[in-house]
Amino acid sequence: MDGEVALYTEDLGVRYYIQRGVVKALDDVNFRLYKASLTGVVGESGCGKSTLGRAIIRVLPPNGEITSGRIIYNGVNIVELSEEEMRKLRGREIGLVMQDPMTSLDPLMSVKDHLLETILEHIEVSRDEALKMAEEALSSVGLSRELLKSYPHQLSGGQRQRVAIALATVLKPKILIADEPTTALDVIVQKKVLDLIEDLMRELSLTVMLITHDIALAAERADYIGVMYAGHLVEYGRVDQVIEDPQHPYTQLLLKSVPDIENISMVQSIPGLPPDLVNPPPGCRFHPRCPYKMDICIREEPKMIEVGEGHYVACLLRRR
Amino acid sequence: MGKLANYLVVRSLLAIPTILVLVTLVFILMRLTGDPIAAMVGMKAPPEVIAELRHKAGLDLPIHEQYIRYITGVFTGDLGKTLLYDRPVIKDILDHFPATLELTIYSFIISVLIGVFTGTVAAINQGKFEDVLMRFYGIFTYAIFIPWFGLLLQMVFGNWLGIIPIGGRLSAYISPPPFITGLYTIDSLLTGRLDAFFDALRHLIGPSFTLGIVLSGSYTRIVRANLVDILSQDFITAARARGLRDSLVIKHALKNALIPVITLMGLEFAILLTGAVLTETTFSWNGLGSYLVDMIRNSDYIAVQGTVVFFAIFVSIISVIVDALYAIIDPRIRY
Repeated sequence: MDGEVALYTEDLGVRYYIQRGVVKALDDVNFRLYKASLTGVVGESGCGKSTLGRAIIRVLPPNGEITSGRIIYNGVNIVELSEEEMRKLRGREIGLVMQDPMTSLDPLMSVKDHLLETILEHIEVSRDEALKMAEEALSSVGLSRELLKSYPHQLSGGQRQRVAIALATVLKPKILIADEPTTALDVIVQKKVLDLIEDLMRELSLTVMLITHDIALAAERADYIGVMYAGHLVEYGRVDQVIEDPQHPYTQLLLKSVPDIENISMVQSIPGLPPDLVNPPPGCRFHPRCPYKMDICIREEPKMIEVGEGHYVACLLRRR
Repeated sequence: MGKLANYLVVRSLLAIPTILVLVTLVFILMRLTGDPIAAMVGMKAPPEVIAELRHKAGLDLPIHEQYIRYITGVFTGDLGKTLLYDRPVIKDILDHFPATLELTIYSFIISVLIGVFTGTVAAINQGKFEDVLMRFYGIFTYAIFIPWFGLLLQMVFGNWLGIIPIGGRLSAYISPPPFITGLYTIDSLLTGRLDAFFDALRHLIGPSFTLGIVLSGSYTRIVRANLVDILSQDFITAARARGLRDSLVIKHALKNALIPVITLMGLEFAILLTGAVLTETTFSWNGLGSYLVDMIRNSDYIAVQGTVVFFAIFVSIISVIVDALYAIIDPRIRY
């Protein structure tokens, strides 16, 4: 049932350089996106979800750097592409939608100028053709063409996020990275924006990477799920495998932390906090919070092992 | 654009109370500094002479009548007559103002260009050597004393290298272009007097770079601070993620970073005029600044009062223009 892989990473490592030292933001991440499917990436704040998304499109903050591993797209390691070659992929092949639609548009530019600028930067078309594309992009995200002349401050949060999605998909990219695209929106608008992303996915055969801290949302929408903890990918598999048969203690705890409307008192939080990634704990990075901690967990770093078909987990408990 | 025109009318009307307060302050301050007539003619002058001069200046009237005459004068363009030469002050001002305007316009352009350039270089190289250098430039130029810097430029480029004149607006052998705007560089171009144009430009280099460089430091620092802030914002990351080239991304950032700079431009204009006074005396530039210093030396308080009022009104007009610019550039401003 597994489709073709659209993009995958091999032992990807990312570092941030800060005053205090070096943040080991990603380590040995082996992640994949299957064509025309939706992969949810879940985990607590600061566990490397956004870093993974930003690394794939190579727009890390200025103090961040990919220090090891490869990202393979169409048989090419895009880590090795020049900045100019990479620029041509961004927007054209891989799009990014960011969390906060209030700040992800240039306040001094109209919707039309945002769209035209993006189109004309990548393809050689006349202004009229570009304008036609801009209108189509707007209508594909359910906005009327009247909004072309609007400035970001004249739009609601939901409208802005639709504009951001239109901008990321106007050139019909193959991959869309949506980094918490609904976190800043109210619940009703959240649902509409996610429906829109699913519609576009079908229409354009988009491969979607949905970054979210909400595992329930990922369970509902995703075909595949990757669970991240402290810069490591700790579990990866089809949604039914990960949700119905979670193998990593962290995934199990995340699922128990989802409120159940029938039994609200059963909500469990995970004790403790994610570790400081300047000095991550030795061995398994989850061991200080793990209820099943063994002595070996402090000494040995778990590697990803396949526990079912296409279902991977990095936990020493599962080692046979 | 009807709404914009409306806004501009309202904004201009609001400038009137501001100007009223300013000219009232000038009126009060001029009367707190002692008897100007006695200061001008000296203690030994015969009382009849002093009384006559006081009468001519209207100083023998009750204070409220003086005030009413003064305010009516300000709003009808009558700033009184100089005590010394008995000429209308407004005529003196209009004679000297074009020279000052020309100097301030060039200095303004130079300060903004250098400031935006150095601030941008600093911001996009944040934390690197270029950044440190530009920040040092920003603080150093801000602290420079204008006459000292002007003399330095005169010495190096005027005396040692001999590439710029050390003072004045035109060489003695060049006749001034016919009066149209009073700005030599513009009038000479309008009348096709290229000799006068290049000569006037050469004379502008010293004073306008003196003033421009000294004022550029503020821009360096505010452009750097804003640009660093803007470059870390989401819409810049989003623009990069859409595959825009760096030059376009920086254009987005710079446009946003320059909005607070417009405010600074308005504020700097007042400082520019103060600086013009010092620059003009250093470069024997026969503008309003030199005139003001002359009249202060002569204790001609009517002329001083008129010039200060003129400066105040000029700055108020500039602030209306700055607000208008704001409204045109930033779509978020509601009016």
